[in-house]
Amino acid sequence: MIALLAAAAANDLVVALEEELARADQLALPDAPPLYSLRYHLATIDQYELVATFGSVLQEDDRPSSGLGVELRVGEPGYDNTGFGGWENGFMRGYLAREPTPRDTREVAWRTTDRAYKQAVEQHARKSAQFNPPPDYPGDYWVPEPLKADDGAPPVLDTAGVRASALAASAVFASAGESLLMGEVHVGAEAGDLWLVDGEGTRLRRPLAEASVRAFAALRTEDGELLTDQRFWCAREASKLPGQDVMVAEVEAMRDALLARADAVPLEDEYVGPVVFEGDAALDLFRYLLVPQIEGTPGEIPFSSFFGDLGDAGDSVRVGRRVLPEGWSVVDDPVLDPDHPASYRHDWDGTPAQRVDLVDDGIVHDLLMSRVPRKGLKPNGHGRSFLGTRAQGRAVQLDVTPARTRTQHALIKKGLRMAAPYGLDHVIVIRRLQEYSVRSSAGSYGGSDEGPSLPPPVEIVRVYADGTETPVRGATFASVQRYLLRDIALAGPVHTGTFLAPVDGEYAWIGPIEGMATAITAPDVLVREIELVPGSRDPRDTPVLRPPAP
Amino acid sequence: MLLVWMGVAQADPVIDLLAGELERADAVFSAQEETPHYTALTITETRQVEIGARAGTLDVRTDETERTLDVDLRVGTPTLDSTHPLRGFSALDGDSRRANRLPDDLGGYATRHILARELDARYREAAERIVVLRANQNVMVEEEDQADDFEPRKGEQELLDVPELTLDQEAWVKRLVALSERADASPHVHQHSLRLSAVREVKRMADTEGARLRHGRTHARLAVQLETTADDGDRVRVFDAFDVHDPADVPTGDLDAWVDAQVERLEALRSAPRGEPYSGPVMLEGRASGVFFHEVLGHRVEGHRQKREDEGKTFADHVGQPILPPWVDVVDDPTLSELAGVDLNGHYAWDDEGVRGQPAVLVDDGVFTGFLMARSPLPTVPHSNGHGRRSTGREPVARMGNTVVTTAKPQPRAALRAQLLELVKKEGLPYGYIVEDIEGGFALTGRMMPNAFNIRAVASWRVWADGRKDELVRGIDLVGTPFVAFSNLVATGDDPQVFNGTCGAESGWVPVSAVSPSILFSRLEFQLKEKAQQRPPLLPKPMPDDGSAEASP
Repeated sequence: MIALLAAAAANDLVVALEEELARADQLALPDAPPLYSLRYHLATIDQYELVATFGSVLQEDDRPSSGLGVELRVGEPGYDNTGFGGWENGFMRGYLAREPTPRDTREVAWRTTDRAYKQAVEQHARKSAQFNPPPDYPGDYWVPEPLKADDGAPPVLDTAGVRASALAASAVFASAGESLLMGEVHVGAEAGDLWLVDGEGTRLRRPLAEASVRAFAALRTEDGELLTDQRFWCAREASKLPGQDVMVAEVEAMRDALLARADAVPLEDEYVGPVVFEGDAALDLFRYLLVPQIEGTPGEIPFSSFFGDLGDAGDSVRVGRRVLPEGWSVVDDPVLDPDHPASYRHDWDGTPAQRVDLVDDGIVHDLLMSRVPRKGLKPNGHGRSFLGTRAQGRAVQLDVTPARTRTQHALIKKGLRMAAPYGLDHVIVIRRLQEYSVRSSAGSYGGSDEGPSLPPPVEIVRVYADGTETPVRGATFASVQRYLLRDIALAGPVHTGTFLAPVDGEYAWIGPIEGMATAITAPDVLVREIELVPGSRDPRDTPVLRPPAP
Repeated sequence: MLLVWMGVAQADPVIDLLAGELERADAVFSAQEETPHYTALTITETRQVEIGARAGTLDVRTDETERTLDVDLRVGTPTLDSTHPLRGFSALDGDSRRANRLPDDLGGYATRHILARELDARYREAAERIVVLRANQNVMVEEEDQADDFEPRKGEQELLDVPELTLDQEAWVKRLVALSERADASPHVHQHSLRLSAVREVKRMADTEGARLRHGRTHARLAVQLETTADDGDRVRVFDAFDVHDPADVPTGDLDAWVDAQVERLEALRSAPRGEPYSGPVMLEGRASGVFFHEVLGHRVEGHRQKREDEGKTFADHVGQPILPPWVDVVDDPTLSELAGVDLNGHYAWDDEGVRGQPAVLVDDGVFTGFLMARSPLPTVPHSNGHGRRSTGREPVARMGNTVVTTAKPQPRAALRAQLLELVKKEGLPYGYIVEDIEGGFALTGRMMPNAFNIRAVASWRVWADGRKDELVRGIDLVGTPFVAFSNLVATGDDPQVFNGTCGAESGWVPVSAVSPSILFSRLEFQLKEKAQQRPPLLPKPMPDDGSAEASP
């Protein structure tokens, strides 16, 4: 009943937007290119956020959040105001009142559309002044057909259970408080409607539902190394997250592993040789190195400005390039698991979700596309975005399938064989990489994703021929390039996980519960050669005053 | 330290917690090579209720309580400690202090953990800084300022109760929604907000000198803000507010008329012409005068500005010298809670360094007498006068509280206006100006920039010498330099008015008041205010009942 009432109220807001869409026909400045597309994204969302530490609530917000995204294009689809660097480009966001009404919504739409139109006209001129499209320029926009669809109502936001779980999980850190720099659990949950309304008649309602929990802890070793670890859960509804017992048990295990890692021997010399990526580390390997090679929205043409070149200098994505070994395939299907929080029937642009066969026999054959054209490719329902930002082709539910999988034991065995010529009696196994958001929360720079790169490993062991394992800490990757994925020697057991991808693609300073839920299924892998070097550590960073005992 | 505290009759468990952590930290830090000579812990608990409305609907409604921690830790000695300004390249290394959020249960383990983490971070940063500072002192020339960095004091103890916030939130939601509908009825009001903010702030402080303090304030502000775009692109804003200590005292009667008056002001300003650069006689009405003294005098007499090598030190060498006419006094008195029935925003019992708020006489019979002092001494002023203030996350420095200008020669407004016209005619000018309303201002006090002030005028009136009706103008700001401006002060009114606001400077935003009668200057200068360049909205504002097509933008 509540959802139905909310939908009815939102419909009044849609009518208000229709009135402003109708008036927008009158927007015209002398000698300006014509307005040819105006789309409104309306979000009426209930949001919940919690930060808990050592069993106490550090921050808690529970509030509705409604906003309006305006996407305005002038010129014509072959060449418009989009795809050019800089700000003030015709895509804007307006904030609706806490209790949005048709009147307030119209006023916000009126003000925001007016500004977006003026921005678009100027941006079109800036682009025209600096960029002449080549003959094979694919254009700027695939104009959608009108669409009327209702993808369903969102669930009601109920966070009582996850609140209790988060508090209990955060209390786990207290018993080791003396040793920890921090121990926090962050919760983010939202549920609501996303409406897409445009001048061509599109009326699409999509549900937005996601609940995420990230628990993380950090400590400084005696030699000053920052050690972190984290656990992450994500579901469509808070009630579908793991129960309190599961969370507490996993956080306890993480805490104990982190404390034990502080006693591990730091990597003193560089390691060059084969490396096995297991579990979450394997998923991260593909997340950081493969995903950027299959997201097909072309970067913005650089705008030579006072601030330097704004936009993307190069396009590292290629169809026809080998990205994985022979026999490997990659698909992305937004409806693969309809219960996954990433799943949708229509993408941000209103394009029906499609399964895309991206990689076949290790070679890229197709890319994830929004409605921004790329030569030879068409929209395939992978446009993801949020209010006021142009949708880009992004991964949703990615499935990486190797030619053949082997057992974990086989991976290690072959790894040891490959290590021998390097003079090594062991192989390095990496089980977890550092999460950028955790690093920045713990006070260190989060890094960026300018080109493929990998954050430092946090869970590393040396595995010997007799099966014994020795934990190692303090290692970081010397240099990692996307070509590394071609160097996979063997694939092992397959895992599925979820990560939060930054909306703008930039991992630096991303918050613990920020980003778009993305599913990934991929195998453990043995990579032929990787260089690991000692990471930064400085005894001066070690606390003088330790936290008190609980 | 603990014995002293136990002598206090009352107790506050949070302060006990702070004292305990201080003692634990002291034991650890005193064993280090570099040791702190002073540490203070302050927890600020802020409950903030915000209710806002626009376009006839509820826009904002929050009721949140936040607790933040400040650690003030000084390594070295009071003569030279880690807070001393660095010079040259080393000065580029800023400090990383910030407001640290604390959990809702202040007595729990989480609070103690965060306290320790922040104490450690501040200690390590200070210990590193003092090493650099000593070298910096060796390398650089002798400083003009030879005063100590810190004034040690005997810690004081007082636990004050801060009243709870009582507010009929539902009634205010209805009231503000109705008022916003009223404001929105004008097609020229392009954006607006009606907002009630109520705050209860409780500060708990403990330091290594034995200070154990609990104090704070409640405050509420009812504010209206309207905005439009004039035909020439100028973004025209109107703002008005009531500030009171007790939310129950927020006026509720005849608010319709209040909102109507603001809409009328906006309409008038929207169609008013923009002024032009001007030099000549100007009369500042009370609120504008208050801000004038805040910017021109107040910021320049903050004690720490007399110490820094990069500051202009406008009045540093003028103690005992006349800087204003002999009938003018200026005092900054945070002990004043209200004046003539108006609550003063700059009232406080204790400053943020554990010193009781006290009056600081700045100008007596026109003679400059002294500075606003925090615990950073001057060679001639070794003691704080309770003006060390900050917003959480910053280091306290000397700031204003209630800056009050009084006159021994009060004159009726009509007399000031008559004198203004006399001066205008004497100079052969077509008109003079009365500044009716301002939105704030700023002062530049450093050496790298002109030591100028800017008073952000909102509504100024041309007063014509030929008797024409006064003409409202917009788009000009008062500018000038302090000595010249003061030397042109020729008359004062009998109409003290209160400006309540918030002042931003290096130690953050602090609530302040400025009280002054209207003042006449034989000469002040206006410069053009910046102007937005966007055309007004191309389409008329949408109006209820489809009246949009008729309204002009």
